Amino acid sequence: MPARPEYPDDHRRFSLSEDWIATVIGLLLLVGCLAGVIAPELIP
Amino acid sequence: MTARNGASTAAEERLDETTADRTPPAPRTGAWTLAGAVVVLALAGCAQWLVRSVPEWTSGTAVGSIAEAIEYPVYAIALGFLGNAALSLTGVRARMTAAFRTELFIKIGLVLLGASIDLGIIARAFGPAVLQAVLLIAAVFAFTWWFAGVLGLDDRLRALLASALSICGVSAAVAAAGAVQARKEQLAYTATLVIVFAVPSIFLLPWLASLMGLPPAVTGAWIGGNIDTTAAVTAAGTVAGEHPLQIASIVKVTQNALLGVVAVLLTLYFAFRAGTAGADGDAAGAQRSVLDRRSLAMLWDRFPKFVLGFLLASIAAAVLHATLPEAVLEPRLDAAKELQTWALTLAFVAIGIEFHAGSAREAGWRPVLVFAAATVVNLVVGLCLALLLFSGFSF
Repeated sequence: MPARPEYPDDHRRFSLSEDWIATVIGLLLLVGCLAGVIAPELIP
Repeated sequence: MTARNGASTAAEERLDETTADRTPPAPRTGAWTLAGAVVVLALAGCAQWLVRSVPEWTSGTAVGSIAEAIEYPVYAIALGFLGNAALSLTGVRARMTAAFRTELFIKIGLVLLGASIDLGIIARAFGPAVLQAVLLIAAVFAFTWWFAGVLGLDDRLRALLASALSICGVSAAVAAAGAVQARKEQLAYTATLVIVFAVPSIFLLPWLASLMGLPPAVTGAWIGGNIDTTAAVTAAGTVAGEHPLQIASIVKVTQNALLGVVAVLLTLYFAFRAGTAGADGDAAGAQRSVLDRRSLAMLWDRFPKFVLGFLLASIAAAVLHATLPEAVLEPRLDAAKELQTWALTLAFVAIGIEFHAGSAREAGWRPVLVFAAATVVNLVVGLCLALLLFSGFSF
């Protein structure tokens, strides 16, 4: 069976899960704010 | 943007790597990445400081009202360009590229933005947004495919240009490149053209919308449907105002979500064509490649996962609105809004720093002409659809 041709985005490293990482970081920050852990005064 | 989900930073990383095929690669280390992150953070802090200070400095002068109207994306992008020039002159920009994560920052910002958008607005805008996205993607894709064919461009480059212009810029080009097995330099041309055209649009579209007196929802839908990259849409929406930003982000998120569908259709088309034309001499192999696990998983693979975070954030805010007193909830939502502004400022700084028009010169005039013509078509059809679908929208 012939080898699959190389796709332009085959060799991503960190970026493979960047979408999920952004989602998780965004939601964690939001939870921190909504729980009152990150107060507006703490943000420059 | 994200790798398989098609985010532009990764694609631009590919662009750098493509360029690196022709020039010696710059060494990247953790220290350089950290230094790059410090530069982005410092420039973002500077942009935040300017947006507060410039109106104070110019208060009561002839330019005072103009200074008050300038939103933070303008400062952030301008400072990003300055940083770009300084880092390029000193020869360290290429070593720091791992820190310039436009799409990571923009997606974090969009997830946080979800908390400030009423779930009802998302629900009401969803129908028109899907309709606009489907019609606009079909019209712009068809025109670009046809016109690029008239100019004799290679089918794979046609697919890349058409996907980038009609869906969501670099991320769509990356997804399409995977689907049609495009060459690396074709992806580099397309990615560069996307960025070159998107940056002026950040300022041009809000200005034109204001000139035409478009209502906020129509302005947002026009911006969201026209500008190719999600980051540039968010920047233009922010320049246009809070309500246009909300609609622009909903429309753009919808287009992003349709990326997987187009990628699957492109894979099917190219595999079918290869099979019937016998280009590879293995029709059965082509059909197998369509039906293999990778292709079937593509819909989910290409689905932008941050959309889930955006929706979850809006749902969480809606639940808390119903359960917590406003006096308790408002400061907490303000904190989320502050963090959202920071995330977007970092993204806009990164847009300026990442800007690199080098390979556009190597693309030749034909892809540039295709891009320019399709952008005009996108603007006109997008405006008609935005007026048709969002004129009656109220906040």
